[in-house]
Amino acid sequence: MIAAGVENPSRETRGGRVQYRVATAIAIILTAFAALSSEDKSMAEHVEVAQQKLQEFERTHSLEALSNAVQALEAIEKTEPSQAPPLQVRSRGALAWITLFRHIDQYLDRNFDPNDLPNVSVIPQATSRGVKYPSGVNPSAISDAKARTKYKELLDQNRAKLERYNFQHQLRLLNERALEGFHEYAKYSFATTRAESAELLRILNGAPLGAARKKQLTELMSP
Amino acid sequence: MQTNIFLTPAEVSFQNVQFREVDVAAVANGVYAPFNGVGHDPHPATLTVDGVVPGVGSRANAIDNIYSGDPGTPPPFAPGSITFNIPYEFKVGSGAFKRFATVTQRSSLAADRITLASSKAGASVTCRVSDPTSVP
Repeated sequence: MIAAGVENPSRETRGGRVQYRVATAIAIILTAFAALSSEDKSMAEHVEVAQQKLQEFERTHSLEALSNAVQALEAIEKTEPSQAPPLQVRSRGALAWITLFRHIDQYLDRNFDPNDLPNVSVIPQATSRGVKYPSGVNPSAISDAKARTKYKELLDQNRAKLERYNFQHQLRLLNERALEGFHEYAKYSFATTRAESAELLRILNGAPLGAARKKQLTELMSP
Repeated sequence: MQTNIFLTPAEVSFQNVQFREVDVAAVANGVYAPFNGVGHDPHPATLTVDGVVPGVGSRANAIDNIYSGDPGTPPPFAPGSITFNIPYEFKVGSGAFKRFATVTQRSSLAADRITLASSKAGASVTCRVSDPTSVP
């Protein structure tokens, strides 16, 4: 399990009025989807979820929201060309992918060193009486105020380093996953005709992304 | 002693798992008796996991420091030990933490009053009382 290596509702309706409103809402939704095929619904819904999650990330900077956005985009069905949704719908999906990469690029720290690991626990400095407490000790156990304060500072520094490390590490994993997902999306949604490829290229070129990222995504457009 | 932490079995990737050590009181005697009952950090850090090292396991993104402490008492030192039976908890995504293991971290001074030893999760090290400490 653990090993260590030394190295160093069923809600009741309360009246006809509520029922009426529910029925009206359902009718509106059904009308809205009537013009779309089943494939369109799937893609449109997934893109909508992804966009919501991306907006959530903008508000919260939660990697879980970003991960959920990737998951929604990955869930878009890979259809036969004859059953592909209209180009306009597919383009919305491409824009969602681009927004995702824009967020990733915004927060990726190019100077991140994956080998500079944080610590599980911190070793307190010696007290004025020469007592050295065990690693990871509860700060309240240290009676020497100066040593306790220094130890708390070390704990705060390590915790901040660990949070930064975890964020960057998970963001890199998400980036790798998103690149695979984008490649699949481009292959199944934009690679059938030259016009489709040109449309995706047009979207990419106009995207608010850095040159290196545009180049990387353009290369992923190849089947 | 510094260690890398690996989650096993090695055939499984635990890259989507996060885990943490849970606060627990030390059981100490002999030279370490002044530390009996001291606890771990009550706000343990949540650790992430990297990829699988073949044949070893999924490596945690953190270095573990195992240090017995030094009560600062004068010699002669009474043989004894300090032991933390540390509960480990894991979670996936925004799920709740669940306990999955208890890991023993132990440091001791042997009956010969010379040999010091530390061990945790299969890693161990020994040295002599007269050896210089590597801890600042």
